[in-house]
Amino acid sequence: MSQSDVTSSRKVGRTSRKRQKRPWPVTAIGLLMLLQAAGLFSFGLLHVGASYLVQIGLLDQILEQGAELLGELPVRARALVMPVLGVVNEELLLRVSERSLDSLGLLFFALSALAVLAAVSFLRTRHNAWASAMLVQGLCLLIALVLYFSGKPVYVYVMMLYGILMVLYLNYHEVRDVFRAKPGVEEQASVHRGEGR
Amino acid sequence: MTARSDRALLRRFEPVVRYTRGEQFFPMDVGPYVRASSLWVQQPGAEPECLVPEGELTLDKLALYRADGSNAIHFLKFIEPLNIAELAAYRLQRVAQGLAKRGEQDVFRPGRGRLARVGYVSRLVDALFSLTLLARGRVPGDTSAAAILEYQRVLAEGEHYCYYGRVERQNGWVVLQYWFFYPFNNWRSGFFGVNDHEADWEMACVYCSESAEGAVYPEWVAYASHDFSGDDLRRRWDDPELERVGEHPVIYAGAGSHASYFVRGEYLTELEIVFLSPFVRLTRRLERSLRRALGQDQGGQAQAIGRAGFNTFRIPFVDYARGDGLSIGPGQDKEWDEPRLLDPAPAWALCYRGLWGLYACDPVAGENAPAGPLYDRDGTERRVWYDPLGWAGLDKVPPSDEIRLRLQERREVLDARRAELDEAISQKSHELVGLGVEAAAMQGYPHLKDRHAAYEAQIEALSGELDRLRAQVASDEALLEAMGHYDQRLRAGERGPMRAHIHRAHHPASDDELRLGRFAETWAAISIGVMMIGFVLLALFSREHLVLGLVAMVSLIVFIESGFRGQLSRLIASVTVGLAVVSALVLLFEFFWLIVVLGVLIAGAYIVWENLRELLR
Repeated sequence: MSQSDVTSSRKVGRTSRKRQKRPWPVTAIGLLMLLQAAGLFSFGLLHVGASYLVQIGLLDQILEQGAELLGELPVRARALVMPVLGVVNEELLLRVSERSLDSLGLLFFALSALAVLAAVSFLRTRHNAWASAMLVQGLCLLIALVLYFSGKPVYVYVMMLYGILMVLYLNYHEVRDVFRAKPGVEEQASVHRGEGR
Repeated sequence: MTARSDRALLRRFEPVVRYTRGEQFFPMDVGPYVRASSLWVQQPGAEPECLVPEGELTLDKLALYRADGSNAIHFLKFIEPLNIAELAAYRLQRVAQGLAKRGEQDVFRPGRGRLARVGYVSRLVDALFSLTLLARGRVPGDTSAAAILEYQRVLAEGEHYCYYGRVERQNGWVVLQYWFFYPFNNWRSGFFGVNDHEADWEMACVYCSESAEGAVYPEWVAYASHDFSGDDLRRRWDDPELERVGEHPVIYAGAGSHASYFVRGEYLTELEIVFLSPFVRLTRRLERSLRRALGQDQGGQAQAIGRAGFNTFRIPFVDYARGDGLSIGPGQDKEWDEPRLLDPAPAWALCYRGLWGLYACDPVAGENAPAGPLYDRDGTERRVWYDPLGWAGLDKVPPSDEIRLRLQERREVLDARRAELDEAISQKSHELVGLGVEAAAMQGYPHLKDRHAAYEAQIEALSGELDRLRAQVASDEALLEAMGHYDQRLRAGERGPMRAHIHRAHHPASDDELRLGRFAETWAAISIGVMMIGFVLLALFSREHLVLGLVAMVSLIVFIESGFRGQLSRLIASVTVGLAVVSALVLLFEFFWLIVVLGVLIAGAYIVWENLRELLR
């Protein structure tokens, strides 16, 4: 190995160690995915919570007896809780079968975890982050479409809209270019040494 | 030029042909082939009729059968299919030979199956194509076996390996044509290819320049190959892709198909089914549009999509040109016999326009035998015969020692044209100035209003014409400058990029493409069948879950396929984009008016914002 080879190798080593600046769209998508993860987690909580209330029969009681049961709560708290329960009942329980509540909740939790992982790998610009992010969007859209055709709970539209915007953003060329396969360090080194062919 | 000097030229640059292990047929003299054949005629709507039985046909007799103007098709029949006992004996003999010669040179070992190299839809299309062979006319399977036996008998009588040669002079070029006649093409039955047919004519050309002293220098080489034409067929003599043994170019012949390649390897070729071509165009357009819409079309990549890659709606076949079998040519395993000259064209080549083997009544024509070296299957003359330069795209290229001369001629033409243009510009410019002065003088006189308007129109037309002439001069000057630089480069001995003329090159499969495991190959072979069986089982035992089951089955298969090909990422992206499109349609359906209103509001706000920004700047 000649002196110039050694110098080239060191240069390449330094380049590979040097942290590359993360483009703004990548950061934005990472943060948006964290937000998505939080949303999915909330959906999970909503489903599991609703399932629990249904199981102990509390929800029906509250909806039937309403103000009486919540009589001990302050008026302002009642004014807040009742509409929420009404929406939960109309948009969730009446549209999704009781049997599916638990499994859907768990699915949302799993998806939320996956979204967090994808967001972290996206923020760290790992080479498979783009595919992971697309997988999360694909699963979200799939669940939203299945729910749309089997009951139309109101949040599916939010899931769809968010998923569509994320897919568009993920396919934006500036984002794609960051995650496209790049020649490896060894290959670069061989090119430096003129051994590319 | 004498036949002797032509023969010497042909011998000087005669190719070395390298075959793949297991190749059964090699270039031969047409004489023994014709003697072993019978001559038939097929009238439209009638049974084929034998004109000359086997054993009585000669090349001289063949020349008597000219096209008579009717739609009748004349064809030769080289062999009669074997009967069951003969076929069984042959098969046993082959098995015994295969066991005895395991690992030896003449046994073909297929590489990774063609189906493992392409996608699932292609395999489905392939299965349909195989089924069409039952309906189309085709060469019977046992014909190949009989042809092998017959060819071996011919070789036993007198082993020979020969080509037909022709020396043609055109536009300052000396074109050496090498024609190879094979008694049979067993690509389908022997090497899992597209077709089988009796007789096969293949061709290679060496293009030479000739000095005033009569010295001949090779400059280009072109090989006939599947689906390629014009410039793509030829390589420059100094191109590293063109392998040579001394002054002899090397041809790697496809196993069974005998197509010629410059580089050894396994070539994936595509067969496009006519009725599927709209799908081919549709998939290309969709992919291009999607890439453009997402801003991924950089440097015209979208245009290249579909041209470069394999298309799903075409059937894949592998042409094995490994060059690991017999090699024929100077200093090789076998040497060529003295060349047979096709110049002047012998009567059998000139007069007989029929097919050189069985007419299988195949509407796609792949199983019908080809015609002779001069003609296509329909009896029209082959371009490579009457225009060998145009066939390889060389009709626009002068021999290298003439390029500077031609360049000088063109420069003189351009110089003369520039002088004419300068003269015209000067004259018209003068006229325009005169018109302008007159028009200016007419201003302010109402009684000259009409005339002024006419002058304005004249001025506009003349001004446009002058603009065109000046643009032409500017363009000619740029061209002259480029020609000057080109002349300098030529004087310095440069010949320019050697592959700039190639639009689409045929490359063998790379090592990476071939490095897929045995499991993937097995999977490719059984997947279509498994899916069909699964469909039937679902329909029989769980009809209520038919759709869901099918979707699950297809998804699983697609997932496994993508895993094998390292395309999971691409699959995920495609499916997600598909789901996004469906979701967008759902939203549009549910909230159409809301989306319209929001769209208008956003557009309005944007316009206000832009205008305000401009105002406040």
